[in-house]
Amino acid sequence: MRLSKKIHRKALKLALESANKYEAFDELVGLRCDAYKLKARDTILEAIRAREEKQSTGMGMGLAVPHAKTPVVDQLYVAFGRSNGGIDFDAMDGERAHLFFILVSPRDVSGPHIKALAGISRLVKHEEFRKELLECSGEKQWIDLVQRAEER
Amino acid sequence: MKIKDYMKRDFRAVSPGAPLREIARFFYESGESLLPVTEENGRLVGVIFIDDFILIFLPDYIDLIWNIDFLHDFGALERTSFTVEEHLFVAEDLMKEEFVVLEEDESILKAAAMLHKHDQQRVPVVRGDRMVGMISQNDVCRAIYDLEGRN
Repeated sequence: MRLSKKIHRKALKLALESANKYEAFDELVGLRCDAYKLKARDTILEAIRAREEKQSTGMGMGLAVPHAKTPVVDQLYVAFGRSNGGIDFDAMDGERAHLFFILVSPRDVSGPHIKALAGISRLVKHEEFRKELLECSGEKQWIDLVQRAEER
Repeated sequence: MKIKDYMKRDFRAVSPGAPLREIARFFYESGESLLPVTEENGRLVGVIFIDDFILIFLPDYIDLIWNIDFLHDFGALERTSFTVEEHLFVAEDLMKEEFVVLEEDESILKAAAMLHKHDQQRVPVVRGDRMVGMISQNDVCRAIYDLEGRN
């Protein structure tokens, strides 16, 4: 999955307003539902929270990737948010998260969900890429730099 | 000849929140290709196929390349740690929730047919929604052997 092709420009928010993890879920799910005109916002939010209870998706390195599978969506949807002040996400390294990828997929298929998460994990392993995401100034620049990283 | 007479009752399963390392250990220690996911009360909620586990570590371009013989290694992928993936995946992220399952009171013939039709070496066995065993092609062979002895 090419993230740069899959993500809608309206599903990018470079200045999240949330102050904590649960506000961030709400804001990110809202962002995604608005961008893709998804209904069942509460069900999606509940699925994201339930998954988070199994294991924090705060990955360290300033990153969090909340994600879940739910029967109320028909395909994979992705959104991205950036918090300039950072949010405590219970990461192993204790660092606040600044970069958030949020994914939701249908329950009945696992392949696209796994591939999307694996693709994100490969991108974010590069420190330079994370730095660029922190510094980029607009949605067009965000998509260009993700595209470049995916072609490397 | 019922499935319950031939199934293995000492199966291993993981919880939906099991970490990636536990799943990796199961696959390499057991030699199995299917891992059941059960809740605390024994309810079977999904299965993880080894292919889906390995998929995490395969780059996207593998699907686009017809001839992969020229790939000598996975480059940077082979030199990075497992840490990021460990923080990203638990069992329920990998499991399939629609899968083949058999009831313990069903016949061995049905088990043989299902294993063949779905090209699987083993299938979880349930009583209601609780997992009670695992039936494999080898168990079917044992049933056939017994049948042969009887005749």
